[in-house]
Amino acid sequence: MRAVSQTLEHVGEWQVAIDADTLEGVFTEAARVVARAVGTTGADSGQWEPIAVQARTLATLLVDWTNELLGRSETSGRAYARVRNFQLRIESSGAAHVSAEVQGRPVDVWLSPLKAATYHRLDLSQRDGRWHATLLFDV
Amino acid sequence: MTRAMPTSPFDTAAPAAATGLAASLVQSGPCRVDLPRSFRSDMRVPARIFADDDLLADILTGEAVTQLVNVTTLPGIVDRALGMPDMHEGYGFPVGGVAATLLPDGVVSPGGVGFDINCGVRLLITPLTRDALGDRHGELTHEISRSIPSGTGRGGRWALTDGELEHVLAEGARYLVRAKGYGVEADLAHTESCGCLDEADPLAVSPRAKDRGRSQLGTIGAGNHFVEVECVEALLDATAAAALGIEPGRIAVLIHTGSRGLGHQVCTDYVRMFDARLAHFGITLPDRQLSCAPASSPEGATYLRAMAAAANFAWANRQLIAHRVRDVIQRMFPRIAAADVRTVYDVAHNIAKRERHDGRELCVHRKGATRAFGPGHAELPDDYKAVGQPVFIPGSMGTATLVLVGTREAESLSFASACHGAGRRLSRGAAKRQVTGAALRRDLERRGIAVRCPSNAGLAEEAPLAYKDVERVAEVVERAGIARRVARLVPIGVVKG
Repeated sequence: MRAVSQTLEHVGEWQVAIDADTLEGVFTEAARVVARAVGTTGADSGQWEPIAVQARTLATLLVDWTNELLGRSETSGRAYARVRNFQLRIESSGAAHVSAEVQGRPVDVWLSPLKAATYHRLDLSQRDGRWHATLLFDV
Repeated sequence: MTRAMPTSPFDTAAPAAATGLAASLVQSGPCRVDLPRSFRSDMRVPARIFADDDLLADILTGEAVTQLVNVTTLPGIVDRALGMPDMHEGYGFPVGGVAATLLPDGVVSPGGVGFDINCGVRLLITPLTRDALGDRHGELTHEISRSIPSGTGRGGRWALTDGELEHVLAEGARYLVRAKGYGVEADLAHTESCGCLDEADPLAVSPRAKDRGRSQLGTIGAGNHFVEVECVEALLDATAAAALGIEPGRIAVLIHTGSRGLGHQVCTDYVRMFDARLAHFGITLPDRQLSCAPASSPEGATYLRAMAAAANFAWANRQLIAHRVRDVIQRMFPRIAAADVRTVYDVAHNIAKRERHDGRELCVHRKGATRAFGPGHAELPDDYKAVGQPVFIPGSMGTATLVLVGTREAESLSFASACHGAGRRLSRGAAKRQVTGAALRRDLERRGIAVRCPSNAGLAEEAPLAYKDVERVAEVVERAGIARRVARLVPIGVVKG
């Protein structure tokens, strides 16, 4: 599973592009993006925690998944960069569900100005056999 | 062993796209251009931007005007969508955007408030003079940084019990002053809405939001939030300055923060809810981040109660920070009493409020914009009735902060609104390409500005060159007639997250 992310220019906020060969790669990279932004972490890996999110579309699910991780980080004091047992289900209506386990490391130095991922300029699509996502965060 | 300076996630890529709107803008007054309703078929009202040619050129380089046009499509919007001189591209609403919808059935949009509900500014004025402070400004800045946690996610010293959190959400700054003794009654009189929106309902706030905020009361957060030690450099309107208690040479403290993770989560929760309900309401929007609901609907009414609770949290946050600043000043200068460190005013710049304008009850969204009531307004404290409501336009670390007061004209021009800052002109990545945090830190220190910021990268992202010229922005505000300048304050110490 190969996934990369890069920052796109935005005057007011923070926009990130993710490129991955699978949807699991996109969602896992989104977790890493949030974890890297949250701050520097210690070595302790902690417990695997279950996570489940559902939304009315696949792209919406990516935003909601990202916001779930942001909120969880702030309440637990951990940065969740590792994902396993990833399962994604898309219904005929377009509604999408994700369940997985995430593992977080305690944050030593909080850096993140991230407030939330938004639906603005949201994109999650497949082109040339790869998945591409664009996420805009309020900072 | 030296520890590596934390890095920031922000980097760079392509420049923002230019818009092609300039030709359609019509000059409608001094520092005021209008975009007619005919510009785009889905506009319900025209748009108006307060700017001179230079600021307008900056505004037109991003998507801010397109976003303002999108705002004009909100159901129930009245008169016009407004862009302040510091307007720049955001998401949904532009930052520096104002829109009013007609109640009861006009919509409320969480995107018109933003994630940092009731982000705002409080100005404290102290009896200390620059001469009396002498070379202790670095010590004062340092002690404030030790007393007030900064950085996203970092908790404060007070982990609120469930009961305390309920009180904060329901009563805002009032609870801190009257039940906890963290401040004086005059703080409330000099806070917008006396530091409490009565329609707040803690039950409308999710458990996740409460958990995020529980340990964050009394903290600044990251990004562009700060506590700044300043000196009153010049009075631009001596009469108004006297009414506000601002004298030349006095030391002041400016606090800029909001509702922290609690407010972020409230917005997240309700944007998600409204986005899923748009079809139910029969609303189509050009940008999902404008998702909204009629204020009279159960969803809209519940959001307004949750937003009010988050706003109360923010006022309590700035109240507690002000209390800690007073503690620091008292420790360093035992002859100064807490009450002698006066709140000049505390004003929100991310909020939606029920207000009466021109005989109508409206829901006024101010996203990166400040309320600016003129002289005589019933909501002003008695001691400010003759001059109008204080408005603060903070600079950016090395630059001045302008204190202004609202005008009567602002009522008809801008739903009694003015701008909230200098406004960004460069992305964070672009700022870091032009200056390093270490160089900026050295430059500020050389100019006599003490800096306490854990991240050099974070410092560079908020460099003065990333912002528009605050003096020009304030001048445009005055020329446009929506507020007038009272005093200029210059920074001597900066605490950032």
